[in-house]
Amino acid sequence: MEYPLVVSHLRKSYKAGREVVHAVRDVSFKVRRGEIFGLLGPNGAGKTTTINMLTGILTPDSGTVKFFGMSECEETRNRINTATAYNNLNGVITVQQNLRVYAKMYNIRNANAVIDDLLQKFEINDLRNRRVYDLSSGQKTRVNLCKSLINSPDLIFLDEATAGLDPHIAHEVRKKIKELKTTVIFTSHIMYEVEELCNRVAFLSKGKILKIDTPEKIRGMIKENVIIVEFLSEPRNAERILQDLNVVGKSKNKVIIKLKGKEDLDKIVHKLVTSGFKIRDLHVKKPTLDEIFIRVAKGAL
Amino acid sequence: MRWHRIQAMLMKYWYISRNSLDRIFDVVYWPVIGVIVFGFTTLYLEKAAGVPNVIIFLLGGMLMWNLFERISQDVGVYILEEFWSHNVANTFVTPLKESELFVALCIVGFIRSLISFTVMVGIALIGYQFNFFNGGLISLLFVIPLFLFAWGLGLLMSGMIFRFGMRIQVFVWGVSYLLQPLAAAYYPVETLPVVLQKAALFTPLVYVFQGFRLSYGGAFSVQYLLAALGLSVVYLVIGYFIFTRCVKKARRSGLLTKY
Repeated sequence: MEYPLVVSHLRKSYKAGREVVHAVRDVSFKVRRGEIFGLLGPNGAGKTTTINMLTGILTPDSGTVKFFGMSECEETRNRINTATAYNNLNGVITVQQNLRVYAKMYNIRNANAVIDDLLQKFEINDLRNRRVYDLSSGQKTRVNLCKSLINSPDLIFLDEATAGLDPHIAHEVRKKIKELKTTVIFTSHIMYEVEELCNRVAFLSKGKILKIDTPEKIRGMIKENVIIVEFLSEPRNAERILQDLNVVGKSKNKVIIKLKGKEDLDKIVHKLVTSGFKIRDLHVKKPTLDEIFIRVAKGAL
Repeated sequence: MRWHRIQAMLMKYWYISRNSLDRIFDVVYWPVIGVIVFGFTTLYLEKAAGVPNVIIFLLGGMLMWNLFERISQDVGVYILEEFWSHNVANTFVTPLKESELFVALCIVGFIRSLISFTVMVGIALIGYQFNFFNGGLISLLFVIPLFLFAWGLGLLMSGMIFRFGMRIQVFVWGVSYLLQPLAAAYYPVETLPVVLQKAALFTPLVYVFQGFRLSYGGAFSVQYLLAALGLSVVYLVIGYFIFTRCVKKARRSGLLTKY
């Protein structure tokens, strides 16, 4: 199987004043064709440093990167692209002019049609004659995304690419990223975004990958879900009944009960109903990647 | 080397030049002001003070110096444009090679300096009856080493930007002036103290200006031309080497990722 991206033992450290910062320590992973692969981690985890090394603008101290089975070369560079919240297009010139420059750079034959299509897709057709300097950060983000798709890349790096977008636009952009028929490396520190988008996720912390798996499997690492039950009315002996359950929180008309498995849910609900509780609402809360990430980072998983 | 990538950079420089008042001023405003001031100074020194050959030393020197300055600065300024726009990473993620960037910068410098030069030569001719082409087409051969050396210096300045970042951008504006005393653009090289005369021999500029003045007067020095060409090529090669090394270093240090 040919992987669009194989990263082996990547390392990078740099000097910050007198201190040596080990930004990336021995990072290895493989990305499958067509998948959206998430690099997830808090600020300073090494996500952007990793992306910068993969896109060729930062030379690693050691390690290898293979794109489509090849080392970095002109062909691989023609087949990748990137959008990042950290860099802009040229501010003095217009959106359309910038996109034309990049279309020429990648030798795109029907450049005008491709640009029109991208501007329509990201709903920024009205911005085509505006200078990039004059755009809001959300608009710049969408222009960056257009640029990143100009060469129909086989592998695309999106580094915090939805930063600065309002929730509605961010949702639309995520939808468009999902629709892309290409391999995507997506970094973010917003967990729900990664959960929504990615087929697999790598947890990064302090320059190391702690875990790689699908969001579902990673969520499954924590077996105990909790159930939040809201009552319309309680029986007289409510306190005694609840004592037999694994209650982790209680407020007026509401209890939080820890579950050990799916069958536990059925038993608990049955017990509550037969004991005279009238249930108004019931909600099973699954662990988020946030919670799991914190536990993984602490070494608790 | 791929022509379409050079074209892409030229397209970008064209758009920047068209949209930016600063870049338009570089080409027309400052050179025109310069030629007018030097023109009147020449008239005064010629008529009132009776200084001989003053027109070739002042106005001729100014035209040649401006050509040199324009080319060398343009190479650095268009690199700085990438830094100012925080566009460096986006440019270097593409398959663009350093050699293609270099060719694009040379072409844009050539075109812009040609526009600037044509305007200045025209004003000098009409306003002050100074015919730059008085020495015939052969005198124009001295423009070739001027271009080569300016590109070399521009590459050196660009390399320094990639090595040290924006904090040394003042270098781009000032480095050519560092060479000006040694260039003997406005006076014979013999005017300099002996130590500086010897130092001047290591820059192609002194041969360019001396040779151009000779050819303007009807003589032509092959030795000056060869010395100027030889030194210019050496400095161009050194400039290109330093530029590519500095870009490589910038990839290692992470400077490209910051802009």
